[in-house]
Amino acid sequence: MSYIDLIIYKTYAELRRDIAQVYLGMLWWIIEPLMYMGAFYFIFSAGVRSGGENYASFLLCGLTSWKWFSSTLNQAANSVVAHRGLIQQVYIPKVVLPLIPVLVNWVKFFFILVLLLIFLWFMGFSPTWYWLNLIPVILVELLLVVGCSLVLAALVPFLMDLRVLVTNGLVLLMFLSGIFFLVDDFPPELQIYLYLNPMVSIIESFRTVLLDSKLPNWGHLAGVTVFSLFLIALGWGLFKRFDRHYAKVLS
Amino acid sequence: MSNESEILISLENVGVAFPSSKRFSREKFWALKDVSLCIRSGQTLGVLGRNGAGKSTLLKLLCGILAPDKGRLQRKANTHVSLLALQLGFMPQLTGRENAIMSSILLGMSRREAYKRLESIFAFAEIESSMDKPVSTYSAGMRARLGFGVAMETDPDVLLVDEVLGVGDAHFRKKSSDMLKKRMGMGRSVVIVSHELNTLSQLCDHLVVIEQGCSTLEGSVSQVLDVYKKSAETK
Repeated sequence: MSYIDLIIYKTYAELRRDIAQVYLGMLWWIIEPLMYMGAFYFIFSAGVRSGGENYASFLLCGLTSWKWFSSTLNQAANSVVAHRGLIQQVYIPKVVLPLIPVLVNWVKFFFILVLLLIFLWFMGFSPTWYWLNLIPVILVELLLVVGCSLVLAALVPFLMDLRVLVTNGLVLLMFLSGIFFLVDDFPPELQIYLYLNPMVSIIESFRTVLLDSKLPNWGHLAGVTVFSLFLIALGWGLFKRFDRHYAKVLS
Repeated sequence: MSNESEILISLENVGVAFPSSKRFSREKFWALKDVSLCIRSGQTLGVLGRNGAGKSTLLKLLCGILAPDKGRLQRKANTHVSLLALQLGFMPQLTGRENAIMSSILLGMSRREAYKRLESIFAFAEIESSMDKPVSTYSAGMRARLGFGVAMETDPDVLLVDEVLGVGDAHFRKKSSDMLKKRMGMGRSVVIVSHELNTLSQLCDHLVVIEQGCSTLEGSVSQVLDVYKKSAETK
């Protein structure tokens, strides 16, 4: 079986299904994140934090990269379990299953990214060549997303309880990722712990590149890359070890 | 003649254990305990057993969905074994064309091959005019024909069939048994699993009897029939 073809066609099929089953079709890829971000914007900009200059741009940079991360993980964690019927009928290496939501959400992310860039331009952040530095930042986040997805998807079938932990853990992590606040505002002894969360560095890099037109902190990104590669190796190993166990556990 | 033909898959004292459904228990449930058999090229093997004897587990083992926990399973290199699965991975919101491609890829084709086979799939299924309509608008019969059309186009060396002959209407049953006969004519191997002795003895040339996870009898249809009938009488 051509597993690359399987991943690509299945990704296409899931995107197509997303569009086919709702009246507004593809528009939802834009409306849904707008609603999500609008809600946070309303609460944090108008209420709790009472705004500040450019707070909207600050917030949306964080939410764009966070939404990609959390949507993928929520779906990927469930990906092997969701295909329990399929894996009883045909042998497929289970490692391809989490890669499908990774690709699906990557495609959707690009729609939101374009929207964000247009919004920033509109808010007075003119595009500069520095924006190209976003490419390595996005690739590092992709590695992180793949790593987390593989590990979670490999473990969830054995420990369904993890699903609840993932959903709620992601909510907690969202508030610890520096989406709503600057990590620099915290006392230095706390900052060290906050940086243990790789999403803090990613979100910071998005802002440095887009809002400050500066180079991201490559050292931090290198750290995230190493951590992600470790997760990918771990996830890959788990799938290799348990590949033919999933059909038993999920029967 | 079948003795001279090549062995594609062989099982020696194979067992498959499932984890216990009880929480925190390390006990295992052996769905297959001791199965030995071999599948030769061009052979049609029937696997006879009661409900719960381990027939479905055996099929999953043969096509690689499960791995043996004991014993030895040998598969000749590059032997493509697949379970006859109808409407594999179908998504009702997608069109017949998209589902046919998805299913074909899952059954082992490349994307390019899948596109090439589309026409004959739809010709077989007799639904050319509905190719680009969502499968959710199809009747049950159209869906079944499309599923069967895809299965017809995949050509594994060993096809595994799980009591499929018992389901569907008469027309469908005829079509499926015609397909099996055609495959046998082409010298492909088929494994059919059933609890009905009559179906198996009509279609197969070899039989294996499975009781409570163990293979108890193996041989040509006439050999097995003799022994099986005698033992049934004594019980």
